[in-house]
Amino acid sequence: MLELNNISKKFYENIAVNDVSLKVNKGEVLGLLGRNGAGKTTTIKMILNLLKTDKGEILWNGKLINTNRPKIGYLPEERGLYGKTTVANQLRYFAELEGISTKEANRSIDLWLERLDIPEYKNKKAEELSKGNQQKIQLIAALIHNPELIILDEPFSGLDPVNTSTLSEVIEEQIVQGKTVILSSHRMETIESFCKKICLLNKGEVILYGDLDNIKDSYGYRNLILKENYEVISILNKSNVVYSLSQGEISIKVKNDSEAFTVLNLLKDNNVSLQQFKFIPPTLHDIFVERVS
Amino acid sequence: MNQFLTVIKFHFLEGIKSKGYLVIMSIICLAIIAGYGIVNYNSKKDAKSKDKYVVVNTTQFTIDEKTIESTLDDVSIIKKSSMSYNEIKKSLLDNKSKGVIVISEANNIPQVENYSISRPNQSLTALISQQLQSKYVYNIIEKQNIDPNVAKQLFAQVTVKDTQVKKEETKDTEKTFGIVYIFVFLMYMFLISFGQGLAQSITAEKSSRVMELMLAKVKPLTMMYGKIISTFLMAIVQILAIGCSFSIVYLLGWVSKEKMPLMGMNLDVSELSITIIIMFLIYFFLGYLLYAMLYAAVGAMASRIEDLSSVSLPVVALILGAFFIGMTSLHDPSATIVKVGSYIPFFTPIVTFSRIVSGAANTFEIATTISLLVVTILILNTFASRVYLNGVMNYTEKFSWKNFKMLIRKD
Repeated sequence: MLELNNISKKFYENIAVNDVSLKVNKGEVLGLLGRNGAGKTTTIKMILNLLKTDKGEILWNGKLINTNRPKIGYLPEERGLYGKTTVANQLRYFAELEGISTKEANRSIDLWLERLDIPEYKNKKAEELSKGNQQKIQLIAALIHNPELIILDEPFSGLDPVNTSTLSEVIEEQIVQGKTVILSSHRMETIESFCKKICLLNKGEVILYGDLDNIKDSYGYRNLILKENYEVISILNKSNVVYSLSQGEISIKVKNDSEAFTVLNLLKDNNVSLQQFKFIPPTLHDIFVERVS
Repeated sequence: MNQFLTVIKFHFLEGIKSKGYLVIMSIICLAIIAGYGIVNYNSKKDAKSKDKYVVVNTTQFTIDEKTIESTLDDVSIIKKSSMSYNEIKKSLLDNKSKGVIVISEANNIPQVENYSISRPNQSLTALISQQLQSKYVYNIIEKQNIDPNVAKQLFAQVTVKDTQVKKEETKDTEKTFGIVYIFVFLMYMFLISFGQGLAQSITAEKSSRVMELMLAKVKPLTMMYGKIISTFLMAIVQILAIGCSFSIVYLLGWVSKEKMPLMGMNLDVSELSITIIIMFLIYFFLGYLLYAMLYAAVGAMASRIEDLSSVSLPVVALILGAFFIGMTSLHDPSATIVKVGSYIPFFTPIVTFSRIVSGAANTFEIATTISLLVVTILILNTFASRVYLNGVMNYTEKFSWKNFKMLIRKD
C-alpha cells in the first residue's frame, strides 16, 4: 500500500505541492488528475524519490519509501529512448538496472515483444521505429522488471485505437495481478474506465479525493439530458430554467429526483411530448472542469 | 554498485561500438601507420637514388670526391676535364646530371661556377670551395716556405660554445620539446573531444527525454559518474590504439626510439621514463575528472544540443587557457605564467605535467598541485552534482546563466 501523508514541496516561494495526503491499496488504481502545473509531476517525483519532501512522509507498506523502496515501473509523460541503440540492448539495460540478470532479461524481452506484437523490432534501432511502437517499448521498459508500484503518466497519448486497445489490455492485466497503479491523465474517459479512486489536484492542493462513484453520488447534482428542441428551449427560457446546450442535447443540472420531475412536469404541462430523456450523474469531465476552473 | 557497473558497461559498449568513435579511431591509427610508412618509403627511396653532379676541373687544385660523397650521402660525383656550355646545358636539360660545377683559375686563384636548373646544392658547393680554399692556402704556404707550425696556427679554428643560463635546473628543452608537445596536445585533444562528447550524450539524453525514464531507474549521480567513467575508458581505449599504432610503426623498424619524427618535430622517446608515464596517467585522470564534472554539469544545463556550444564556452575557455600556458612551457618551463598556472587547478593537468617533463617541477610542486587538484575536484563534485541533479530535471526552452543560481541550490 502506498501512503502519502501531508506531503508538501516548495520551490523558492512557489508552493508546488501543499499538504497532500492519499492512499492507494494493493490492486487499486488511483487516477491522479489536475491541470498543467497542478502538482501531479512533483508528487510523482517525490514518490520516485527524485525530489525530497519539505514536509510529510511517503510510506510503502507502512515504512518510509526511501528505506523500503518497492520495485517501481514508471512511464513518464515525456518519453524517449536511446535512438541509436537497438531495442533489445536498451531493454536489457533497463532490466539490468532493476537488478534483473542478463538471462532473465533476455527471456522477458522476448516475452514482452511477443505480447505487444512487435518481436520483429528486437534488433532494430529505436530511432527506426514508429512513435506508437516506441511507446510500446517504453511501456515494456516500465514493466519488464515486474514492478509492485506502477506509475503511468498519460499512457495513451499519441496511440492509434489498436495500440490503445493493446495497451489497455496490458494495464488491465497488471491490475488483475494486484499491482498498485497510479494513472495520471488528462483524458477523463481513460481515468473513468480504469480508476475507482481519484485524486484531483489544483494549485498543489487536493480538492477532490476518494471513490469515484461516491464522489459522483455525493456531488450534489445530476444532469437531466433532453434532446435539443426549439419548443423545449422556449419553455425553459420562459420558466427561467438554467440549461446548457452541447452536441444536440439540452443539459439541465438538478439537485435531486423531484427537481428533475418538476422540470419534466413543466414540459408535460406545456404539452411537450418527450421521446426520450436521460437522468445521469455528473461525468468526471464535468467535475474536473467545475472544480478546477 | 551493480547499477553503477551496469551504467558504465552500457555506455562504454554503446560508445565504442558507435560509428563516429570507430571511424575517428581508425582514421587516427591509419594516419599514424600510413604517415610513417610513407616517410619511411621516401627516405629509403632517397637513400637508394643519388643525385649526379659533374665536376669539370681544369686546374691544378684537385678535389677529394670520395670525402665529398661520404659526407653528402645523396650525392654522386662524375669527374670531367672539360665541357662546353652547350654540353653543360644538354646534360642538365636531359636530366643526365643535377648540376655541373666548373672549377677554373684566375690569377692562380681557384674559382667555382655552378650550373643547375633548380637551386644549386649549397652543401656541395660549400664542401668543394672549402677543399679548394685549403689546397690554395697550402700551395701558398709551400711556395713561401712558411714554417708548418706557423701554418698550423694560422688554420686554428675559433671555438664557439653555447651555454644557456636558466633560472631553474631544467632539462634541455630541445630534447623534451617533442614529448611535452605531444602530451600537452594529446591531453588538450582528449579533454576537448571526450569532455564535449560527455556533455553531448547527457544533453541528448535530456532532449530525447530518455532521461525521464532513466531517472526512475537509477540515481542521477550514479548515472553521471557512470557516464564519466565510461567516457574515460573510451579515451583510454583510444590512447591504447594510438600507442599500438606507434608500436607497430616501431616494430616494423620505420622509426627508432631516439628519432621518431612527428609533425616536423623529433620525438625523443628515450626521454620517456616510467615516472613520466605514471605522472601523465595521474594528471590525465585528475584533469579528465575535473573537466568531465564541468562538462557533465554543462550537459545537464542545456536542454538542446544546439545550446551546448554556448553553454560550454566557459569550460572550453579554461581548457584553451591551460593549452596556451602549456605551449609557453615548451620553450620556457620556468616562465612566471607557467609557474603560476601550474598551481591553478584548472590549468594544473596540462601545465604542471609539461613542467615535470622539462624537469622544472620539484616534488613539492607535484605534491602541492595534485593535492590542490584533488581538493578542487571534491569541492566541484558538490556543485557539479547539484547542477546535474537539478539540470537533468529542468527543461527550460533556452538556458540562461540567470538560472544558474537555481541550478546550484540544494534540494
